[in-house]
Amino acid sequence: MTAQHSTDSGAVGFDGVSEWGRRWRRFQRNRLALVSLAFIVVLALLAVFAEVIAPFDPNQPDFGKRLTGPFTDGNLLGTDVLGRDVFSRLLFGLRTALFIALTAELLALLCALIVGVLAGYFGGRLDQLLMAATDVMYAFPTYLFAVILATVLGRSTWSIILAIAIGSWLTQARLVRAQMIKLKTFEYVEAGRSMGAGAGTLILRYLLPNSLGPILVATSFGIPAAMLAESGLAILGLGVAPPEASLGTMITEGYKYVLVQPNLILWPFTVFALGMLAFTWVGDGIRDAFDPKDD
Amino acid sequence: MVRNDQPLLDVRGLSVAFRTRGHEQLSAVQELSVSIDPGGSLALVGESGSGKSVSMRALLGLLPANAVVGGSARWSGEGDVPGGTELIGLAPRAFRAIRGRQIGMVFQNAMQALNPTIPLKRQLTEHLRWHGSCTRAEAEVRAVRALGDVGIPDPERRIRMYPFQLSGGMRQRAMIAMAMVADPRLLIADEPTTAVDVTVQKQILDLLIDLRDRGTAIIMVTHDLGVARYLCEDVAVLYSGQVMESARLVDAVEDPRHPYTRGLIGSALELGDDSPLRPIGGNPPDLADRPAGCAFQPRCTAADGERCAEVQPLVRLADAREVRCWRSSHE
Repeated sequence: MTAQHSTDSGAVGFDGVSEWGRRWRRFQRNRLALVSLAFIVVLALLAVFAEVIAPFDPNQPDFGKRLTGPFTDGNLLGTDVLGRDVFSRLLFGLRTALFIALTAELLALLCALIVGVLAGYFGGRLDQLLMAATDVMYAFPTYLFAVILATVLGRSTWSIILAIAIGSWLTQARLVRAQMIKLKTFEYVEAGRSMGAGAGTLILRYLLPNSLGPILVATSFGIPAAMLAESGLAILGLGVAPPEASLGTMITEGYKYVLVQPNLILWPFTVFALGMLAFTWVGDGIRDAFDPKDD
Repeated sequence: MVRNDQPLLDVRGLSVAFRTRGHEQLSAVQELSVSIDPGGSLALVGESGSGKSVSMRALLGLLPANAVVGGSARWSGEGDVPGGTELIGLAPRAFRAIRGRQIGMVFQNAMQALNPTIPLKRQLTEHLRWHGSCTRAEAEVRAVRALGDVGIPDPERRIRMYPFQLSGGMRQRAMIAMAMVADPRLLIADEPTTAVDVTVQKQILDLLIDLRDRGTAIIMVTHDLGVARYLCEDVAVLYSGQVMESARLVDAVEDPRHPYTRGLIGSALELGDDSPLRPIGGNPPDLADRPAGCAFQPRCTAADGERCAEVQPLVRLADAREVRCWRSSHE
């Protein structure tokens, strides 16, 4: 607090720092989250620039050198059973896994926001109808549902995204709905209404911004869950179609040769596990960032 | 204040009931009739649950969907509508034009009545823009002026702040500024001084007096007659959703006619008065189970079995007072 502010009894002297600045500060205080975020940025860059970085075509077999170990013949992490470069496949596999996880989560979030806002804000029969539908979906084992969907729609990237998204919007929709119901009774929302705000303004300006914290946390925890679901489908043989690589399909393939060449499972698994942990810890950090009690 | 024949807001027989599961309907406000003239000031006084806030929210159409509102409330603040606009049952779109622009509302809990995620500037200017009455730059000028008017120092800087950066007193003022920035004809203040400490209370009251003197009509909802006395000309005392006594405030305080008004005055603390407080015994009745006849009868010190068991009409006395007690016309 500067001297200028202490002269008037009113304001706490935080100005110059926006609410987002303060959140970022709180996020940074969680070192693990900060390191995790840096790690995710590195992963994302690797995935985005996979073409540039990859020394080999990830899908080009070379039967002359199958199942070699790391650092042989220019293959940084060795080759797989078809002689394809593991490092290159890892980069592209990372790209596929991240793309599927992020897109599925975004799709789920979009769906959750629409259903949650409609049910929570408008209430009444609409709420009952939407929540009944959600409950019916809940009654399905979502994983089984994803398996069925991936089987029916085929093993394309988009069908996998759809299969994962359909299973994961339910909890988030309930969260959004609960936030709407809670905030709707707050006095500032009523004050907004008393000043002539319509439903759209109330939702976009009052309700959603104030439920951003929980929604962001749920989203950041939803991403590792989507990654897990993707690799789970891959293990059941429902991952992206070969020769396309994803972390999940790489782990599944590597598993077969674990005694011959453990490298094949070690590298994708390490990246996968660390990536999941990093997303979870970033979620933790976001949770801290939105908790003003820590100041 | 010149009394012309058309009040700014004329509420006749307002009733509010809530549909609930289990009970048929819970009646929260019954036959409420009050009116306020342009530039007038009215206090709605009563205990918690007496229907003060509910009736005000009913006027602004802010009640939840399970509320059943009856009666009439004529709003003549628009000027060009002969006979005024009927607020009860008004279409949402038309209501939004009145809320904020013609009738402002100040809420009890300033700590929670400002949107925490947007700075004051947007909070104060946004509704001016919704109503489409001015440009962004004009709105900002008006907002800064409104903040200055409510006694917030350095409004140009403060307007960029978020609510959490302001103290309680400042938030309460910012809220009044928010209600006033569109220059409403009527300000409804719902317990504006309850959540703040005494020094701030005084400042807020002075601010409201200032607004009243500049011609804004004020309805103040409070449970504190002492506070109302600073500000208001008229008073309506509510109990269990009914007006027990309505009068000019001085008259009601100096010469209360209804036992409940007497009870309220007797139970209020006054500086320099050493006489012991006399709280009103008992609790307000359950809305689902009002006593037959006079609602106040079980707690009334002057109750008389037979007469009080009859339904008490609101009796108009000679000096333009209305009292819901048979004794008042016999004294």
